[in-house]
Amino acid sequence: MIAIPAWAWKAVVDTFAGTAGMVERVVFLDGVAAGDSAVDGGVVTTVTLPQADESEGHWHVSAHEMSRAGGHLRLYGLTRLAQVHSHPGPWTGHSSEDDELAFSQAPGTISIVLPAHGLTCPGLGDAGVHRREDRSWRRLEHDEVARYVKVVPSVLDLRYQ
Amino acid sequence: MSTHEDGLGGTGGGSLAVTVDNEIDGRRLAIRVGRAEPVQCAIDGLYERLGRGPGADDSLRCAVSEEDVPFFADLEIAEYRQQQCPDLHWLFAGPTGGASGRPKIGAADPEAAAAALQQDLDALWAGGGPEARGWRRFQLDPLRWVVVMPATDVEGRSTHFFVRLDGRRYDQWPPEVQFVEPESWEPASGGRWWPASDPLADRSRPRWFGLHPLYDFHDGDPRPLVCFAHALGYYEASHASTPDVRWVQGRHTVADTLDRVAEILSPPYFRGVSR
Repeated sequence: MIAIPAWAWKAVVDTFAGTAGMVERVVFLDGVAAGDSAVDGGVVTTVTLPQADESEGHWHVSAHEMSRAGGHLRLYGLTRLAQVHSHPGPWTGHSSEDDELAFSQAPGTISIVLPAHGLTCPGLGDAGVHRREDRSWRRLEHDEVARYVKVVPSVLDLRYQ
Repeated sequence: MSTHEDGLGGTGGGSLAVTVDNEIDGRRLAIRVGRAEPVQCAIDGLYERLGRGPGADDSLRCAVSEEDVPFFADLEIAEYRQQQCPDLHWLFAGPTGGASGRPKIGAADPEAAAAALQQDLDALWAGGGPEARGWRRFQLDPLRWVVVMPATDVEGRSTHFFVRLDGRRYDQWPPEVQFVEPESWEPASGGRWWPASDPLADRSRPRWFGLHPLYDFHDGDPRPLVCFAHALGYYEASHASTPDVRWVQGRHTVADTLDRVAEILSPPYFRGVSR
C-alpha cells in the first residue's frame, strides 16, 4: 500500500491548479519503499515536478529530464512510488499512451489520473487509480483503491481545547 | 527501505554482474551475463527485467564514463569492462508520457468518403495482389466493406477472419477496422472471430499495434479496439503518434491499412483464435 501524507496530496493538487494554462500536468510521488518490488508500496516523502512538455492533449518527459528528475532518488535512497497526471475533462481512464509510457511497467505500479486539470481540488475518490498487473494496466474499482493507495493525515491534533 | 543488489562489476563463476540504476524509479537491478557474451546480452536482460522493449529515446550509459552503452553492444562484456566501464555500473532513463485529448476528428462528407474508399479498394484489387494473398471483399453499405483474410500462426496452422472497414472519415483519416462475426457483421470482442496476436513477438521492433477486446473510450462506451496508426481507432483512442507513423492523407490508403492487418494475422504475431 502507498501512503500519501495529506500535505503531499495538497501539494499535488496545488501544483496542478497553480500552473498557468489548460494543459495536462504530471508529478511523481517518491518515497521510502516498503520492499524491493512495486507491489510492496511505501510512504511518500517527496513530490517531484519534472520538466515536462505539457500540452492540451498530452504530456511528455524526455529521457534526459527523467534522469534529472531521478537524481535525488539514489542520493536519498528513495524510490518512485507513483505518478499523477491530469486530464482535461471528467474522463480519468488510461489511454493506450498512458499505458505504454507510464514511468514503470513493473507489476504493482500505481498511476493516478485527476479530472479537469486538477482544478476542482480532487481527492483520490475523484481520481482514476490504475494499477499495472502482470500483462496490462487495470483501473481499480472504487472500493479497491484504499487497499493500494491511501491519503493519510499529516497532523493529528487530539488535544482538548 | 528497499534493499539494492550489491556487487558492482562483480564476478560469479564464468559470469559478470552488470548493475543498473534505473533513474526513472530509483530501483537498482543486477543483470548477470557470461564473460564471453556481448554487451547486447546485458542490454536485452535489462529490458526483459523492465518489462518493456527498447525505445529510440532511451538513455543507457556507463555511470563512470557517461559513454552510451548501446554503442558497444557488439563488444564482449569482459572486454567492455576492461576498456570502457570498469565497474559495469550503468544508468538507465527513458521518456514517460501520456495523452488524453481526443484529436479533432472532423465529420466527412459521407458520399465523398464512400467514393474515396471504393476507389482505393478498386485500385488495390485491380493490381491482383489481394487475390494472390487470398483476400476477398464484399460491401455491406456504401461506407462499410468486409475483407475476408487468411491468418497463419508460427506453426503454419491457418484460419481466416472477417475484417470490417468503415470509411466514415476516409481518407482524411484511416478506415475504422473491426474483426466481425459473420452472423451479424458486428464487432467480435473475443472467441472464434477475435484473433490472438502478440504485439511484442518481434523483439527487434517496438510495439506497433494493440488488440483490445474492450477498450475504455472517452465517450464512456467501451468497445473493441483494433489499434495501429493506419486504423481510425488509434486516433479515437488519443494516441499521440510521431510523424513517421502517422496517417497522412494522400500518402496512405486503405491498402496500407490492410497490409498492417495482414501482418497482425501472420507470424510472428498471430497466435491463433482467441478463447
